Amino acid sequence: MRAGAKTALVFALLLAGRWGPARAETLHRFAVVVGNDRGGGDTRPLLYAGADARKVYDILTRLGGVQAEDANLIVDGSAADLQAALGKVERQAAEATRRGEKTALFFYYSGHAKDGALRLGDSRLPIETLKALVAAAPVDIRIAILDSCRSGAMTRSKGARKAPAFQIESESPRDAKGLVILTSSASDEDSQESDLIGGSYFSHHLASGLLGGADRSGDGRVTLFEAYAYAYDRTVADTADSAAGAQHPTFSYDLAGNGDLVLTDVAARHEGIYLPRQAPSGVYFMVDGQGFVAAEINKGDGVDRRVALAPGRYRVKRRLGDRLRVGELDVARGQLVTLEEERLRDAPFTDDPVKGAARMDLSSRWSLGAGIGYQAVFEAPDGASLFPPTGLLGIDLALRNFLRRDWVLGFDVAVGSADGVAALPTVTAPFRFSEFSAATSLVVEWPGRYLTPFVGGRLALLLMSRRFQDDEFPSQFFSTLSPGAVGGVSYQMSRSTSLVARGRLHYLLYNVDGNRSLGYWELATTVNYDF
Amino acid sequence: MIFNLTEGGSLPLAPPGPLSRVAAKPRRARLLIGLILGWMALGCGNYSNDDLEYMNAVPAGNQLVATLPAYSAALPVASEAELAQTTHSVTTQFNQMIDNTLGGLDTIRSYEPSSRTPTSRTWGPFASTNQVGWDWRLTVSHDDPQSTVFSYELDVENTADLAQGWLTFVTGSFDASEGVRKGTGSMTVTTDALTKAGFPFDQGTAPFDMLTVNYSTLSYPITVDMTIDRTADATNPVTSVVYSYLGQADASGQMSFTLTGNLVPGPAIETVAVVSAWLPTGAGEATETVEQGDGAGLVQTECWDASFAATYNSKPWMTSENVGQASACPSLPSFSN
Repeated sequence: MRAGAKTALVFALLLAGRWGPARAETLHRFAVVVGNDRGGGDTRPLLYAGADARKVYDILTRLGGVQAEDANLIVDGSAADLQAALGKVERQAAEATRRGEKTALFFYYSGHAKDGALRLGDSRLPIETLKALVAAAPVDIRIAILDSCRSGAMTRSKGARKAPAFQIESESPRDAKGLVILTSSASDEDSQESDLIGGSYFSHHLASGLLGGADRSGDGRVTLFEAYAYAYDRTVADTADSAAGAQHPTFSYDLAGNGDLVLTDVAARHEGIYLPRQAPSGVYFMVDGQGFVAAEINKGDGVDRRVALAPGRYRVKRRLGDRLRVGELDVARGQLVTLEEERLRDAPFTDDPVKGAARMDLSSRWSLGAGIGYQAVFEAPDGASLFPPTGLLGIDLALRNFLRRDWVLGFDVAVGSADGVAALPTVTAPFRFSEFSAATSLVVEWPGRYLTPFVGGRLALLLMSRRFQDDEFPSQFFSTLSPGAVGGVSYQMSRSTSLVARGRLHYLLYNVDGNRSLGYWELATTVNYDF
Repeated sequence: MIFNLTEGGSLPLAPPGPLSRVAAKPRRARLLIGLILGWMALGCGNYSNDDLEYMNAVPAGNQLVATLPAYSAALPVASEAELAQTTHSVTTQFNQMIDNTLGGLDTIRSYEPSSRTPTSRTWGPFASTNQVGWDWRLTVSHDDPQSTVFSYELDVENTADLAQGWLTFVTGSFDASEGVRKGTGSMTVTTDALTKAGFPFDQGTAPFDMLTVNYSTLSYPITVDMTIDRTADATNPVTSVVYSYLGQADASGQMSFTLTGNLVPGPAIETVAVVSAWLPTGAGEATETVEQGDGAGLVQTECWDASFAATYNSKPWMTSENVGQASACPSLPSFSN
């Protein structure tokens, strides 16, 4: 959709009546929200598809009139999961219809699409199949939003200015009925993600619009057309200068009747941040406690905006030519906090909350660390007479966000040495113990602004040997694979440097003198550098 | 002096030789690497505390050797006192016997046991390098976990006649109550069964019928008693040799040596005993007594200084060799444990 399409959209808005809140109250809404970062072996994992889905799910259930029991969130699920959720909604909608209720289905997908099919992990769902499933849903209104590469293929022949080719509903003289399809990009475009905003451009702006940014009319309700227009403008603007080129969302509708569709009611909850008319115009970023941009609101001159954010603490930023205006607001439950300009202060660009450290952690990257550790077996003193407590020097190599977001694939090697004594009933033999370990680990981390806890599994190959002071005894060695668990926390000291403290618990298969397997623990600290 | 039992050769306990190597094909090499990695992953190695205890049960030859101050370079051996020469000769024979008997057993310390059970470790079977066609194995047992006593047994087998089964060659035990190489032990070597089975001793025949060693390394003086029983033949009339060694930490010591056999032509069987003692400096005194047989009752006493030159000699049957006074003899400590 290009500028001409926008004109057609405005025209459509003029033609269509408002499907007001009174009617919205009688509309039984269902939602199937799907996000999957993985798209199979021939695609690179996305970083934010799951997060986008969660954000949309939250908005629909909090502001969009979708009850929790009618909402289905599928993150990292398969095509079968998606179809099962649609089937469940169909059954629920059929029952609602029998009760005489009007029904609507809101379908959202964020993830990979390639070769005419949605990619959900290793499974695929042809877009034509999805069309058929949506078409077959026994509801009055169907809204499908696809945020994926070349998703415009779904609406390729259905530009807003053209007659719908995917018409499945008979017309109704009064109420809005039919099918609406929004896609994040045209049929020949990629849909782009942004580390800066922590999501895809399209879903981010769609969500910001649904939170209130798109309420052009100022009536506290965001309609389908308003949301799309807002997302379109902001997505095109943000991606115009990107390396991948501008991204143009598309819109296809077949709403019969005289109703526009209210998607979210941002006034009803009376909760969030209020930008009064006198507030300066510009783009306001609202960053939540996790460092994510919860909303990006483009406020015009002389208009006000309600941003229906969930309760919590937010940092608000507005960018000027030579500085930032930043401030913090606490949104309590059921409270609409007015953002007065006096609550913002000047700040240099280096204090931009949108570019916090947490934001920089979201791309796939390598890090290298070095540190020291201490290792000891649990079964002292018998275990220590075999494997004495040992200091370790280690090097860690980690790859973050490669397999999936916040997963860290790690490799580490360590060497250590210590003096020990084999204190046995008939022999007391001092020895020098040496150890080399090479391991791989997979951990999940929860990035914070400064602290990042993590936990995961580790598999180590241990090579151990000891040389006795008494030359009468030969040197001994032992090797084994040792599975274990690892956990700890990372402290971000600077943009590229972090201090890591971690603990490990391992199982040590020892079977030379029969099966006398034991466990050992390890504490270590490393300094890591992110490339 | 006397005769040389050490010419009988050593026990057939040479360690296993290196494995033969062939050029592995790449496919086999990959398979081999895979097997090695898998082996390593499942836990492998010789890392064992228990092995140390089993190894410790086998006596080390250098624990039991007799220590006698070396010859003085300033004094030609020919000028050495007669019984000092005897003491050196006997000590050398004694040490060679210890080395030949225990050296092979001692070798196993360098090797990981071939198999383990909760109460034993076994090295072998390995092919004997000196006796082609014969395998050997050594088993060390510790049947009572509450006890500090370990027993061991060396067996040999004729690979060309497996029906004979394993033949016991050496048996022994060690009470390791005081730690590494501290304890008391005994060992018996028998050759009768091996001789009957055609075991190829180095010199063609067994050097003895039975050799028994009892020793204690608990504290000084270290004691080692060795008894050799053999059948006299045309070249060697000796039927029994008994060594008794006591060694102190300061290198002083005593060696008793008793020889029995028809040493002097005639019907009588002679028993000759030599008791020799020495100081750390090398100065010492020896008494040779003909206890029975021809010449019974004869006693020779000889003393020597640190250079092993005679300072006193009383040889009743050869008075021309008498020298000095008894007062020239060194003052020796009591060698009792």
